[in-house]
Amino acid sequence: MELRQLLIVEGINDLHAIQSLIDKRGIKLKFNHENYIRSAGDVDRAINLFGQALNNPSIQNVGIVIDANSIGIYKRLNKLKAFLKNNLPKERFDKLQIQKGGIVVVEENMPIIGIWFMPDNESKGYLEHFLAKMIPVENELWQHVLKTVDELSQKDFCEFKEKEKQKALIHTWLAWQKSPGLPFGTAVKSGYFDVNSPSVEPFLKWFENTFLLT
Amino acid sequence: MLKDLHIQNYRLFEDFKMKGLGQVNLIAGKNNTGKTALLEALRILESKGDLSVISNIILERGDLNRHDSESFSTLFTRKLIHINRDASQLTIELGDTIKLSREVKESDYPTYFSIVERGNGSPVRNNLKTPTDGQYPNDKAVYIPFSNDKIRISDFWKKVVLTPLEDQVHEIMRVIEPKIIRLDIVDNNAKVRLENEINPIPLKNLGEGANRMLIIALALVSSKNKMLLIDEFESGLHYSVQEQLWNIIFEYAKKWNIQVFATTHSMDAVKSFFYVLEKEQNEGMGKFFRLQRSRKGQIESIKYDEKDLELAIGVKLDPR
Repeated sequence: MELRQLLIVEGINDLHAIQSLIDKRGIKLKFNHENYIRSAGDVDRAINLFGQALNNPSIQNVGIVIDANSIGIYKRLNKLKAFLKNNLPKERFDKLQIQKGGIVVVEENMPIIGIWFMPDNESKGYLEHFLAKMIPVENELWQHVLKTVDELSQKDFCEFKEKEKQKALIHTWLAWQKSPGLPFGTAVKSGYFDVNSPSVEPFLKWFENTFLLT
Repeated sequence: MLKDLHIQNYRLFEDFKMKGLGQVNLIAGKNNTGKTALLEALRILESKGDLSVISNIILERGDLNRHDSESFSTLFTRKLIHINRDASQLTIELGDTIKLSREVKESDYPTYFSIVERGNGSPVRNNLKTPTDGQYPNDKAVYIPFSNDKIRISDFWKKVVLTPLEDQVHEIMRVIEPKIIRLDIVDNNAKVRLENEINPIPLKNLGEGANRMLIIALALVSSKNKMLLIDEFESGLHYSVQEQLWNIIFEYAKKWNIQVFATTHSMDAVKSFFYVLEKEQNEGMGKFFRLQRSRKGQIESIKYDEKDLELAIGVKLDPR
């Protein structure tokens, strides 16, 4: 069956984390959802793939999830737009503007376009910042993780760089669970991240708007 | 080498562009997106609007009509066609680039065409018979239709036999069957002599793919400094030989300055094309295009370079 809905993400961790979140929240996908999420490998490849999907007239909904990283959402969007210049008519192109709840462009006879910048369409950061918000702040283990990683980052023998600190935090959190070291997707399924955290609501809303699930 | 192509008002192309063509071009697309029509347009372009070629295209499509104006209008659509009929002359103008005319005779059919004017307005007298008179179309490009039955391999062979090109054909054929020592073609029937065999055997005994391979081999060695058009590359070819055949096509395209346009339906053909394109010596030589109907209903082309194709194949987002 022909693919009509497509969600493009950067890496395999993003894919599994998002897939598990959607599954665990019981979101009903009203389309052929076999392999509808594809991980491109990195941000450039994700953007390239997004362009390919926009060029394909059988695609009806296409979303992309990319990290704001340390360069931030505006530069990320500009990068995306620079690549898409030849893929989109000007009217659509101009509608690609940062929105708090993620970008969704809906027009008749056109594919619905969704763009989400991890973690929240505002802050710098990446998937691990999004996941961190799914851990209850008052959780004692999490408090301990925060304290420990923070202390470590002051030491001379600390290997990770400051901008990677969030990754160290999340991996430490997962290392100290009952089943230590689960990958993100499985960890979401196992409840090590709270899928009912209010922090995920904007993302789910964006997802539903992009894939017309409401 | 053709770098860009712009076709207006030919069959289903209203205003169609292909930019950044390569030495070897693979063209995919669903049915009725103009893959064959694209090859036809290239035939017409290469022959500079030769009427024998146009007539042959009409004939092949089974659209030949007693009234040439109708036959022609199945190809050249919309307003750019002007048909002027007076007592003795039928003139068909294709935009302002090619003007065709024929004399209207009492007997009327088969007919006689001539190009009266071309481009800059300089008159060209170039009378040609239609293929119904037993003449061959005066193609400048080498064209292989998808159906092997339509190809007169004897005609290719006549120009190849007893020349160094014969060796090249044998070499290509050994990709399919390494035991082939030599082959001969009489009346469109190819026979081969195999190692350790006393009697020649019909080529078709080696399978349907062998026949297609021979056709492509003959066409390839006949295409020096020309355009080679292959309708349905994979026709009859097992996927295991497709990659080897692309290797050969890329090699000849480069050394003999052949620009290749091949159409396909097959994912195997796309993948094998990509694997060969990926090789260092072929870098940048090949381009992949998908023809499709845009959301507005017009035929358009989407180009994939190596990087795009690698990604599409890698994540299994079908580029066809």
